[in-house]
Amino acid sequence: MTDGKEQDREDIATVQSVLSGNRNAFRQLVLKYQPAVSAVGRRTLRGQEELGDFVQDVFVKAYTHLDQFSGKGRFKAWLMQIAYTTAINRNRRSIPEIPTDPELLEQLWYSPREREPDRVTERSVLWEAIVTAIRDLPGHLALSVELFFVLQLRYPEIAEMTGVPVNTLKSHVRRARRVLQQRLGHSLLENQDEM
Amino acid sequence: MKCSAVRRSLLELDHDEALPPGAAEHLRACARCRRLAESIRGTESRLSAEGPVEVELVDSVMARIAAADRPPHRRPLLGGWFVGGLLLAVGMVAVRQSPTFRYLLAGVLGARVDLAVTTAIAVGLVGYLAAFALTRARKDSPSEP
Repeated sequence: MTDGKEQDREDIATVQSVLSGNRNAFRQLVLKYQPAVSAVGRRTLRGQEELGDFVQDVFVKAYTHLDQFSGKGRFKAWLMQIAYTTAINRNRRSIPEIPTDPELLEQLWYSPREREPDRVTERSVLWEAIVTAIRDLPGHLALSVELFFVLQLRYPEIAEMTGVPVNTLKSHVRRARRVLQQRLGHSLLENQDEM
Repeated sequence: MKCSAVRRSLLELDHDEALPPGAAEHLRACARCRRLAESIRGTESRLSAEGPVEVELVDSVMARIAAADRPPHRRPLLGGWFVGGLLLAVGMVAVRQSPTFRYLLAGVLGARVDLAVTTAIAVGLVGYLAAFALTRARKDSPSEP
């Protein structure tokens, strides 16, 4: 298993290989990031029937504009930004309102094959906590918090993608984490003993 | 560092971000805060959407790329532009200094030849500069193509 930085270096090497004319190397990137691109599509598109077409569009755009990836940031974040912009363009520049049903939100983020019954139950508890924390937020801010947890994107990457300021995002992530940990029984967050 | 400050750091921490030195030290001594840190990490790994890969979808992406048969753009390097410009400039000087050009210039149509060559050089220069500006002006950012 490789760590995050090693994976980022691998991605950059793959991009360079594609740019040198090895088109087939791009397949490695598609294999690696198709689940994440599909997840963004399921969560953000209004019509789910166009999901396959959306995923193809995102990767074809990434491929044909690969030289615009500077290599300074992560390839994953660059690709997710293409996915996000493609999705909101398809939705006529709007983000669907956050579903208030945690189960529905969970179904949107994960593919049917990721939803084994026991895992669903375990994750449902977590989604209930997240929905509690983000329920009243505007669509793009709620989505930003979800992107943080589900796609493991970093604060500056999400800020660049959605336009939400880093500090705003940070405070909502803190809130969501607090609710999550309280639901998991962490009395620590109730503030008693101090060291 | 106090527990409350460490908890705040833990709740705000970015992915792959290191804890402030004081907080890391505190975690070594405080089992309760350490449990919270572990719980945050464990919880978030369960939320991550990482698979499984849909191979048919991957195949269709690659088929579309192959069908388009369009290699990714590759922006020429700055050095390439410099060498190109230098060659163009040397070529222009060489044309004007060539014996053939001097011979034509001295002939009956000298003024017209001079005008035609000067115009061609100017058009070439403007075209080259415009191509350079257009290529470099493309944003080097992750915005959607």
